[in-house]
Amino acid sequence: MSISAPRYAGGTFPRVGRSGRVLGLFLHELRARAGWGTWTVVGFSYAAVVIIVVLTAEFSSLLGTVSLSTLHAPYASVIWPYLVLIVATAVASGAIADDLGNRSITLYLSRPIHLTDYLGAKTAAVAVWVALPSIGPGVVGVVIAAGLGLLPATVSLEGIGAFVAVGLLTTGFFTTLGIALSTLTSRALFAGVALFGATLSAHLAALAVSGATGANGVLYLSPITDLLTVADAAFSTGAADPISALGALAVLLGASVVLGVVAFLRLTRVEVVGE
Amino acid sequence: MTAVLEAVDATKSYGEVLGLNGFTATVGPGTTGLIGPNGAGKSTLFRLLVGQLHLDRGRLELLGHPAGAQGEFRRRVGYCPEHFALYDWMTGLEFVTGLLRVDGFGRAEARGRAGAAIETVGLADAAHRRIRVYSRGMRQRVKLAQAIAHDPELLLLDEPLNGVDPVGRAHLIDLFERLARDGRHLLVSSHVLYEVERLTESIVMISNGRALAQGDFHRIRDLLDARPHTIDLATPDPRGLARVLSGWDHVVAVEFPADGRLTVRSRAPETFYRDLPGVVVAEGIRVTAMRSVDDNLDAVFRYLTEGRG
Repeated sequence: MSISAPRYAGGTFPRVGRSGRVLGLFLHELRARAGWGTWTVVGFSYAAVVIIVVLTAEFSSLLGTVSLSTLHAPYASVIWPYLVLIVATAVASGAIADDLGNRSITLYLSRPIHLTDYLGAKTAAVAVWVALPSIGPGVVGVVIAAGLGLLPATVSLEGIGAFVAVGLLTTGFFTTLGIALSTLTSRALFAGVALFGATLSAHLAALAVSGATGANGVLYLSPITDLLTVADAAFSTGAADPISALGALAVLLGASVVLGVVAFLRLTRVEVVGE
Repeated sequence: MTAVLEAVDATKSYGEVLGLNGFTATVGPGTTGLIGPNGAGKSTLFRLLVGQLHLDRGRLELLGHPAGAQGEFRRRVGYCPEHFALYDWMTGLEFVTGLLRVDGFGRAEARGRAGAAIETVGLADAAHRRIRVYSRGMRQRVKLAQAIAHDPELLLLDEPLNGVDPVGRAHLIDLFERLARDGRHLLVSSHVLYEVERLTESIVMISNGRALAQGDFHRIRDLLDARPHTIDLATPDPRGLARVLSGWDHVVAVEFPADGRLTVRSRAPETFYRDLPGVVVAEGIRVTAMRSVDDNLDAVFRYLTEGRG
């Protein structure tokens, strides 16, 4: 009599390809980041920005001074960028840190996905969440104002383009910053504090140093100032900003690329160690 | 076929602490037990196999692929980690479904498979409850469900019975036997030799990051049988359970270390583990957790280590 090991007969089930698996992880992550607090801030962003755009368009329409710069109003203060920062903090800080903290990254990466797929899906899901308050409100505001007959078609299209461009830049920067910080710790709280704290500190410190010394170049270190400067240029306000819009754009784009690389390199070196 | 696992001088350190220290072993088809005391390097080996740790030195292959390699061959592997790698705010069904999507199953197929896997591990009633309300044993089962749901060829099970109640333990051992009969390969780690006894005679003994022995475990068990085996039980009625257990010939001592806890010393652990579920059912006494305190196994390992040294 001979004995042989039983032959495995499973594993012949049809499965989706790599892109489908990444999509699955993306949708999973998109849902995972949907907290009520995030929804509240996103809703507030829409309400505030839409009201500002429509009211500004209404007044400008009455005064006959409607132009692209009319739509810049939501960027006249730091409130909108900070609302976006709050959402980015809420969704990005835990994107990787939670998986490292509860070690579920082990379950993901033991499956047939690549590190780049994992990072890409996580980043894309966070980016969608950050884009909601950074791109959507301006676009919706313009559409509503145009629908009410307050904006001519050309201004509306230019306005949508400007809101999308500045919103994409905002989304890219805060997403990569949040993801990079999230890979550095297994505590979402630490990543969140670092994300919000670093941005706020850089903003306040740059303003203080610039005010005290007159050295405007230090303002490039503040992402919020960079974003507002780029917004001034995108909406053709003609404001005399202390730093150049092109320089601010280069800083934000460069920082986004560097942060993306940092996140990837960090993940390739991550080891999940037990209790 | 290619060896399921092949390790040659596999070494991994955490700073100055050696997790694996020149681990060399070959695991063939079927079920293999990876036996060693806590801190022996079992979980380090599993984490290396699934790519969550990087080897410092040596060679480690899984199903003919370098351990840690990413890609399609991972479809053939199911991994149940020792720690609770879970999203507490999800239901068990959502958790398993989400991971199956990453495995490449469509939405409907993933949900169907997740439901079937959860039912297989005996968690159907709790499938729609959030994981945060799961007991330790239920969490263990949902981890196991995600490991088997995609029908893998090889299952890496790191202490899969830890924290599971006696009835659940018997159920899961039956499940592992069934999976093995279907032709799957199982690498099951445990610090309790008796847990693995029902599953396989093929074991790899690991201690201090080294493979001490590989092969038939009966000789090892003989060494253990000479010493009382300590089992820690959690139950709302420790005195009621102690009354029943103290009547068994092989139980040499019962202690109450804390409220709701009972420690039993038995000279026949196999018989103890076999008969306990029957008592639990017959007497209606709930046992919420069972843990083998591995002093005895440590002693055997010390004996083996010293004997070899």
